[in-house]
Amino acid sequence: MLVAEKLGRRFGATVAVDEVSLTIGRGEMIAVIGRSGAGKSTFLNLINRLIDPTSGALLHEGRDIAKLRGAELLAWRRHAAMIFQRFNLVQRLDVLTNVLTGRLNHPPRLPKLFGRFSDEDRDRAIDALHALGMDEQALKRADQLSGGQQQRVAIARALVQEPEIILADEPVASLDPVNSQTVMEALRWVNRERGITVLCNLHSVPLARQYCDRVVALSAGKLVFDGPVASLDENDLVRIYGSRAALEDAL
Amino acid sequence: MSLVASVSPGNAAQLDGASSRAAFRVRYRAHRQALRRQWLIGFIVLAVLSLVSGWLGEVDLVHLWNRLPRFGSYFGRMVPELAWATLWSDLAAWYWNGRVWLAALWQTILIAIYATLIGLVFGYVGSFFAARNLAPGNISCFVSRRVLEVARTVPELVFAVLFVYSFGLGPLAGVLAIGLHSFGALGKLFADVAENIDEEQLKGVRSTGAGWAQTMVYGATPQVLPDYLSYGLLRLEINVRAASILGFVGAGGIGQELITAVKGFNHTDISAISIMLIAAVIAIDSACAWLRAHVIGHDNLRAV
Repeated sequence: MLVAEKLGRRFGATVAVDEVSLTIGRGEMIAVIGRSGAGKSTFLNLINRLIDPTSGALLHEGRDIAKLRGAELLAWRRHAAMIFQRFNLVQRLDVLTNVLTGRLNHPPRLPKLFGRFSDEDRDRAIDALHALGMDEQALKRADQLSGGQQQRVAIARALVQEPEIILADEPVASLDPVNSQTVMEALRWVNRERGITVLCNLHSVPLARQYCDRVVALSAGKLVFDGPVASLDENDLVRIYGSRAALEDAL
Repeated sequence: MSLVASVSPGNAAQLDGASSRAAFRVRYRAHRQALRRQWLIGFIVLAVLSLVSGWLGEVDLVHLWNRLPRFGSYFGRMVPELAWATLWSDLAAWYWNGRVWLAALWQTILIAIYATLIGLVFGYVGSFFAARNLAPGNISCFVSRRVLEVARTVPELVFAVLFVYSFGLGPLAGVLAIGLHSFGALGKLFADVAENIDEEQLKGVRSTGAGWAQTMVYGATPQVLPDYLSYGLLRLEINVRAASILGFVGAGGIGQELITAVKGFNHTDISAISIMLIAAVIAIDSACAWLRAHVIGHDNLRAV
């Protein structure tokens, strides 16, 4: 269980995330919706600690994640894997090595600095790629893959981290509808079959309805909705998106 | 305005256009004149400064003109006596010490290669500490930038003199001197390259819990490696040239032979050595250029 308590982040005068309190249970699949600039991306980055919070706490098994430093912080990042809108694979590395970067925080770490991964690490990477239908591409360079393929490699990278939670930041915003479905299917598979909690920023309400069990909404950095996906009605959506016109875009 | 208002709208527009064009022509002429004045002042200032600096620097054009033939005759003396009938024996006489010179030239090239390797390795590591977007901290960035500055500002020959003094005569001093200078020059270039990398790819690696060094190896290195190698090869060319004069201060290589010939007034030896040197530099320049274009252009990097 992961509990955000009045978690906040300000950049200078702007408050990106404003005292968000939220409880994320193990194995949930949660969509985070809201307009662009509502703070969804910052919120996910706060959980992985790629961005440091400026206020509040993030509790996980009695520890405040917001206060972790050094090796403990790095170990937490491995437990909270991220998926990015622009995939964020290292373009000039092959697919296998990209997936293996998900093993960098697993000991022994020194040989990995010189490119030496264990056979077990490689097996794990290939298994993950196979599960996502990408094992054939293992020796191709990342920049030779399509967007949908790159995102599946990114999910494989997240899987080999053996994470507790996957934070997906607009995972399908750069993809066409068919690839969007494939990637969302993959995320749901990760959630159902591997029991990994998934927190997923989405700009599309239909995708949130189709794939997630629970919906959380941010507006101007504040939490404005939290409930099962079925309870999300028209009035909530207008409130979340500010106006009917903005809502049309999200539908 | 009252005049314009009294005529029809169409005419008013025409009149407006004509008058604005005329006004602009006046403005443009003034602008041109101002520009011409600025250029003239700039030219005069430059001319005066050149004359003053020439006078202070004791440049004597008459002396230069009178002594020009001596420069020519020096070259004349460097030309060996070659005749068709005895070409081979003449060439053999010209390159009487060829074996020694060739060995010295080879040593020069080796000095350059080792020095470039030292510069590459240390510059590679140093660049990540010096790049503002990658450095583990502001202090590391500041300190490593200053270290790189010192290493590349001091000329190789000065380092060579210091190293000959501490490690004795020979190529080791040369390798260290050029290596240190290369480290400064490459480290700075590398850091500039590293500051332009795609941060998203870096973030992808960092998000997995990779440490700083791991992030540099897996997130930054693949992005910068082609540029680093390209700059490294460019540096090799420069270092061959730098290594060729290291012998002047006893730091190994062909410079030793060259300075001996110059000091002993062995004019044909000077030309013999110089030609070997120029040929070697040209060969290495073209080899490096070819490598840069063909190997680094379409590489296939694999870390594992």
